Amino acid sequence: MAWIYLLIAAAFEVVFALSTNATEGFTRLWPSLLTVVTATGGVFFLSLALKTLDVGVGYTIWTGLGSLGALSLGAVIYDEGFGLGKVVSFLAIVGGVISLKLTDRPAPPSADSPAPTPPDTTGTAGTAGAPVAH
Amino acid sequence: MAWTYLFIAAVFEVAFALSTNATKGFTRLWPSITAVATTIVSVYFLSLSLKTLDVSVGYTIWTGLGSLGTVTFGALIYKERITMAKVISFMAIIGGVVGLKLSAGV
Repeated sequence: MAWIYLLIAAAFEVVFALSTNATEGFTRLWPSLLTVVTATGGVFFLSLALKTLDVGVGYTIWTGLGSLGALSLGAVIYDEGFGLGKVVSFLAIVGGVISLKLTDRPAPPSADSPAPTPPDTTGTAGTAGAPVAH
Repeated sequence: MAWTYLFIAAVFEVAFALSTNATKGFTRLWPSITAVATTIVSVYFLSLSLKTLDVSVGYTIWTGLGSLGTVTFGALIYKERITMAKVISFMAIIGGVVGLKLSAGV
């Protein structure tokens, strides 16, 4: 559930990033209001995610996905297109998020594990403490 | 001056992330007040710096420094484990954000 909250928080962050750009130092009313509302929603869902996720992981993914979404939407809205640099960067962020998701998993009970761990038959175990024949 | 504003914004961003972590879903009063106050100050100083800095540069440095600081102080204060897999993932995400902004600015 924490990861769902984190994705919702990132979606708010996307709108927040786009509207912040339009506030011009908070001198324009409607972009400023939208910025405050989306920032509040983003931070609230981030705090729910951080109940179980590490703050380093949660914050980095939150801003990473936020940037990815904002830049992607910006590219669509302003018809900028996707060059090689953007595609590589896009994949780096998504890859980083997925690997954090995978390494975050705190060793679940392996109900789906197809095969039990085979016994150690390599013959190397225990040699360090084994008596040496003369 | 814009760079000073940006650095101040990044410092408050780290304080915001760390205090948000302590709010437990905004159920605790003082961390919640700190989180709200620091994010307002952070965004305000960011907007000041963006008056002269390009948004692609400003926003990237803001969140990049925010991530580095949050990961570092998260490990120091909340004893979060930093593994090699995590470091590589963080570098991929932060590097990806920088790359996105660079290729967007061209």
